[in-house]
Amino acid sequence: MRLDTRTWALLPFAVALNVVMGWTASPLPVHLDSLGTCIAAALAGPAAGMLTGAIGNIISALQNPIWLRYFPVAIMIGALTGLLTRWKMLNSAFLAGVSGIIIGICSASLAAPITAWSGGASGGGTDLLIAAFRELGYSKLSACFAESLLVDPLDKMISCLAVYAFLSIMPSKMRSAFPNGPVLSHIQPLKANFAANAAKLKESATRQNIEICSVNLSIDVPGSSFWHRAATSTKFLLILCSAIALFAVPGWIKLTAPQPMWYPLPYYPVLLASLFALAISSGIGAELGRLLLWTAFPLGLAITLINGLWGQGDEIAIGPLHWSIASACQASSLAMGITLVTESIGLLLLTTPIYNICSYLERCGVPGRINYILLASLNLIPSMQRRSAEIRETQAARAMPSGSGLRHWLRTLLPSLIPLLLSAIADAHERALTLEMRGFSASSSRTSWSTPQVPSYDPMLKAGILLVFITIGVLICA
Amino acid sequence: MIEASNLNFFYASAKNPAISGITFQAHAGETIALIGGDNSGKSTLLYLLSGLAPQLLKGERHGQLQVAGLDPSTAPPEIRLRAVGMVFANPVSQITGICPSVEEEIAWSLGNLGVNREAMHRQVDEVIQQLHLEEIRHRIPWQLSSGQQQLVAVASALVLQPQVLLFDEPISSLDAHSRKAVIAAALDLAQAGHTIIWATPELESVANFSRWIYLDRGKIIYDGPPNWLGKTALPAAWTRLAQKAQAQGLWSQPLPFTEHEAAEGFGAIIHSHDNHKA
Repeated sequence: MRLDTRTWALLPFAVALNVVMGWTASPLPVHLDSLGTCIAAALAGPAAGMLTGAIGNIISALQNPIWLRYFPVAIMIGALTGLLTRWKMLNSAFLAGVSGIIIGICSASLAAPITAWSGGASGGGTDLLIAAFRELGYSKLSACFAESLLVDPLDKMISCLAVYAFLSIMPSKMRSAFPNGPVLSHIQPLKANFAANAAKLKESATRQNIEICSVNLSIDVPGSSFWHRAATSTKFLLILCSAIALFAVPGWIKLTAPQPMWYPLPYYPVLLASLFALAISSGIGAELGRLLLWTAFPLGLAITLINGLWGQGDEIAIGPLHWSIASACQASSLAMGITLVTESIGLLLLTTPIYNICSYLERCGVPGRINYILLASLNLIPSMQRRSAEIRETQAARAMPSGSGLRHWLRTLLPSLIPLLLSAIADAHERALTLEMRGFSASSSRTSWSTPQVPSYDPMLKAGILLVFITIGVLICA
Repeated sequence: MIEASNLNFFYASAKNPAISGITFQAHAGETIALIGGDNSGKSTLLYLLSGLAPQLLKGERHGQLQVAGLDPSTAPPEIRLRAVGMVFANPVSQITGICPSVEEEIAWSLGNLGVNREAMHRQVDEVIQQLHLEEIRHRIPWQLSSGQQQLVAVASALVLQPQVLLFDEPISSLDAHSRKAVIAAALDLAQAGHTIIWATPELESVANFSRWIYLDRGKIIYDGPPNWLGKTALPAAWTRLAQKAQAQGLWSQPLPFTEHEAAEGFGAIIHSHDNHKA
């Protein structure tokens, strides 16, 4: 995958835009959290879009590890947007709207099976929609697909329309510097009255640079416990063992002789309690508890309730409700497995600065440029958020209508977004020059400033983790 | 060190050249000011000297160019960056944002070129000492002041040990104290044997440079010792003061471009006035 330095410099801004838009309140159940992916893909092609989607998903997972399950969806959105751009499907407002609907349907088609397979719930407010569809008699997969179809096409349509508007306003010299410049040179300009407003928007995109702020998205809690000092590889080993416990064990159990319907439910709490004890001994018990409360617990509760109320198998009546015990047990088992993986990811993120995680990944062979995007994005997110707020204040001072609700949100979306995007592209251009003069495009293998010190007890720690998981695995499967 | 002969450059899809007919030479240890307003071609010339154009900034170059013995438009980064380094106007955009300390920020360029760890530490230590950055070496780069960040940017370029250092309006966003520090660093590097080329629209920062090249609409209109050509650039405050004195018949010498020349000139006027009174 060969991207030029200008594209590499653009990607952290695109990733930061994804995250910032995902946090921005909107009256619609859409967040435009793929807007940066679509812009990167439109300007620089499918590979750039895929990278943006992937890194954006990883950064979202730092706050909520459950989002990692939608990693393939994020990549697919970038790939599809890049391809549609090459087929000139973003060169007019109508085509951009159609492209958005296509992307939305495709992302719903991929997200639905993932949601269904991982319990049939998303852990958010849209679970009410899934429950409603289940009540109407939809299967788990159909209910997840119907819920995604209500949201994704609208979200992606608005994103693609915003991307088209931005690309048509973007100075042609700036646009032509990117790989898709020749394709976008045929883009239809916006209508006259909007174009006049757009000229004002260009003026308002002052060249205030998006500054770098301290990384405040890294959630690690400083400490000197034995787990803090353990090697990053040991922490990744714990995640791997948890993932195997989640995915491999239930599959093995199905192959063996029939077991009671609550099997292997009792064993997960043992593992969960063990990891929580590890967190408490490392001084991060409260932080891990908060992380699980906001991420795994809502999802686990939703999975258990939805599958219990609308699952297959023997039912018992609890008042007006019919509860399927077998489905509920299976769902609880899955929920606990997801919690186990979330807990192990939390034990990594809460005790390891993100810079150390990236250094470890680079030593394992992850290209340094990927780490550059991840770390640079984290640094840009807080300042891009602040810059977005400053632009909204500036627009308000210029008598742009204030208010709330859907109409206000739609009217103020582009005037708030376009100055932010123009200044981001200008900043990306400056960064590209710097990166090029710092050897970013050199083909040599990167060397690092230092390697972290591994404590002498680390091999024993790795052996202990393997022993615990293997013992419990043998007990379950025996 | 630099040989440019009849250099022209057209940006991609531009009808007119950004620079044309540029011919000049530069030697080791020279301090050259590139002076001109907006669209004069200063930055384009620096981009050509650094190899950014046409490698990253697409376009067509005509004419001959050699920097430290190689053609920057064709040399790979591993070789080109050992010949020429560049510092840009905005300190913030020159901080990568991914290194948790100044020393690692400076070392990042060396890491990209695959320099081994021992050499990396040694070269970083040398540069930190040379630019007096010891006090901030362990600090987080994005928490520094603009002036400190610009010095870190200079260090990041210098650590690759280039023979030529290019500065593209490097003090435009700095306060007075930081400006002096960056100018002093550049002059020290020239004394150490580096060729310094400094683009600026105003003359005060380059008062102590040995050679001034004026650019106007992509062409060289003057190449020689410090001189003021009128509206093409903003002269230093002391030069403007001497101009006003000249208009009133008080200043009869050539206009001063350095503080020292201005002080001597005004001192002579005051001395002459005192003698006259006496």
